[in-house]
Parts: sequence; structure tokens; C-alpha cells
Amino acid sequence: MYLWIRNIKVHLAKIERLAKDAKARVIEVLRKGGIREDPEKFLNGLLQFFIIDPVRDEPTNLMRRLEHLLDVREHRLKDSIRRVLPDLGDFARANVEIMIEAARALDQIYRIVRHYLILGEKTSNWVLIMQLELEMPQIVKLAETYFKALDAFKDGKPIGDGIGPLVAASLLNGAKVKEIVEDTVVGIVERKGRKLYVIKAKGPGGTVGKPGEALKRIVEDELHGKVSRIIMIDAALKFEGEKTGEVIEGVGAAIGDPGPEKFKIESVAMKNNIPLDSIIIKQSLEEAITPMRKEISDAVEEVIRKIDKGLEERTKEGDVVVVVGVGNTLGIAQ
Amino acid sequence: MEVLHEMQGLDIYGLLLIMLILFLISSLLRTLLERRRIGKEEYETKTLIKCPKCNYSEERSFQVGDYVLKPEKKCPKCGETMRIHRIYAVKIVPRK
Repeated sequence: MYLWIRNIKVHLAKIERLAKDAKARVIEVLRKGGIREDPEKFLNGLLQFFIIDPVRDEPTNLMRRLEHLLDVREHRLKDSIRRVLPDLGDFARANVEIMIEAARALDQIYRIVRHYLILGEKTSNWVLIMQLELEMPQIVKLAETYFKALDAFKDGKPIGDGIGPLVAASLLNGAKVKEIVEDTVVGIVERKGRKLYVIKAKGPGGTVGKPGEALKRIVEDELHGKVSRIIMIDAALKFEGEKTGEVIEGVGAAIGDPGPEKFKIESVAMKNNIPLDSIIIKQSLEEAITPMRKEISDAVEEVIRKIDKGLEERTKEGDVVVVVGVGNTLGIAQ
Repeated sequence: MEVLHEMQGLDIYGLLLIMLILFLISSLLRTLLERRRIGKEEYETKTLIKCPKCNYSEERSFQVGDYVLKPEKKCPKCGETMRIHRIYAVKIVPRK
């Protein structure tokens, strides 16, 4: 047990160093952005900012309650960044926001590991220590991944998760767009004789937007349910050994949000009896939050080929189709 | 005879011990070399600029402020405004 504890402490020191370096990087960005208060104090206030999950024993309006809490949290974070960095542009502020999220994740990993180590030591619980020791390589890898992601967030480089918005941007190809809901845009293009409504998060700042709400408004308010098909494009986690950038088709709402957006998409599709197709692009967690690898970027053409094939095989000329590019649009405009 | 047996027994155990130690050292070295190999994997971010009219393209290193669809310089072939087509990370191949 002594050896396990010693090994965990070595790994914990590494995680602590990563968490501190991440914090220092965010503070540097806040300083460069002209922060109007003590950056360390400001960041510390956000690092441990929490959200309490809504009651799940009573499922009535669970998704709406969760969405409300998530909205409150997001607006609180956005407002506090806007308050201290008023001179920074919207996109640069969005990048600061995701940098803070990454630093927060690292800080949380550090505090959780430290908690279990101290608890295991205090109670001489060798099972707890052994579990922690066995999990440590994966935990350290996760911490390193979040740390690597900081560079991409700082410089505004597109990340692997941005493949959905990249496909949407390629389909739009500079077409006129409008902001239908907060941080989410929609544009209309013609393809294979079909009318495509293409939805993506508003770039090039780092945001995922509200694709579910945007889809709901387009399908129900603008098109009154007259949609032949919904096609969703998103990055998906691959299994170890699988090829990065592999393009796979399926059905269902391809979106990895906490629940509300996915629920809206499923509800809209079900209520209006619209078939829901999905195209996913496989990648690891590290690839999803670090600068987009070429293999993932090269998948755009393959995804568009699959969309075209789907349009030809499953819809007819003159039909209206909604394409949703899901993911973080960091470094990708429209 | 008993002493001889004991000596032979010690030799066998000693040999096994040496083999075990050698196996452990070689495993450790293999792990360290593997870690060093994985740790060396580095990526460089590139920006691909493309002309929407004649498809002429150029690749350069990423610069802060680049984003996909950002208008760039004029196309040297047809004079159309080029745009950033893709931004991606490519593996740096170490020089041997």
C-alpha cells in the first residue's frame, strides 16, 4: 500500500503542475485581454463554480429544468467575463470562456484525486488506494489532454469536435446566414435539387450554440413540420484500435449535450414524423479537444458524399431537408 | 552429498533469480523506450488557403487570427480573393 500511495503522489504532483500551469495560462490571457480586476481572484471564483443537478426522482419537466439551470450557468459565466473584459471581441471572449472550462476541468481532476488519496490514507482503505492506483494512468492522460487543449483554445484553432460545424460551413460555402437563436446560425442552400436548411454554431469563437432549439424553431415555426429529413453530423468517440476520421452512418440524434438539446431534436422529429439520420466522424477524446487532425479534416468530403447519397436515395427533388452540424465551432466561421 | 545437492539447488534458484531480474530490467527498458517514442509524437498546425474560382491552393503554417472561411490574399492565378479552406494538425516526422 505504501508503494501505491507513493506512486499516486507522484502522479498527483504531475496533475497539480498541469492544473497550476493551466491556471497561469488563463491568467496571462486575462491580463493580455485587459482584465479590470485581479485575474487570479476572478479565476479562482470561477474554477469552483458549481451547478446542482435538478431532482431526477420527479421527471416532470426534467429537461426544461435542466436547460434552465444550464442557461443560467452559461449566462452567469458569459456576463462575468463580459464585465471584466469589456474591450475584448465576442469571439475572443468565447475562447476565454472555453479556456476557463478546460482549467476548471483540470482543477477538478486534481481536487478529486487528492480527495480520494487523503481519504484512503486516513482510513487505511487499501481497496480505495488500489483502485486509484490502477486508474492513475488514465486519469493523468485525461489531465494531459485537457492541458493540450488549452493551446488550441488560446489560439482559436479548430478542434476535432468542430468537424460537424466544418461540414456545415462547407455546405453553406459563404451563403447568407441568420442568427436564429443565441450563438446558432442557419443558412439556406440548394443541393441536388433539394432545399437544405443548414444549422451550425456561430463561429469562429468557441461555442456549441443551441442546435436543438434552432432545429425546433425552423421545423415548427418556419416550415410548419414540412421537412422530409433531418441529417445530423457530429464527432463521436472511437474505440481503441479504430481509425481516426472514419465516417459512419446511423439513425438518431447525434449530439453529446447533457440532455436538453438532444431531447428537443428527438421530440421535434417524433412530433412531426421526420426521419432522423446521423453521420458521425470517429476520433478519440484527445483528438476531439485538440487541434483538428488532418485525417478528421479530410473526412469533410466523405461526409458530403454521404449527405448527397442520402438526399438522392431517401428524398426527392423539391424536398426540404435540415442538416445540423453539431460541435464546437472554434476557428470555423460560416 | 547433501552439501552438493544444496549447492546445486542454490545454483538453480540463483539462475532463476538472475533470469527474473534480467526479464524485469528488459521490460522496464522496453516500457521506457516506448514511452519516449509516444512522448515524441508532435503536431504542427497548418492552414490551407484555396481559391474558390480556380481551386488553386497554398499551405502555410497557422497564424493566430486564422479561421476557416477567412478572406485572405488575391489568387496569384486568377485574382479572386482566396479563403482559408481548412486548418489542421499534421504529425511532425522527426529527422533521423
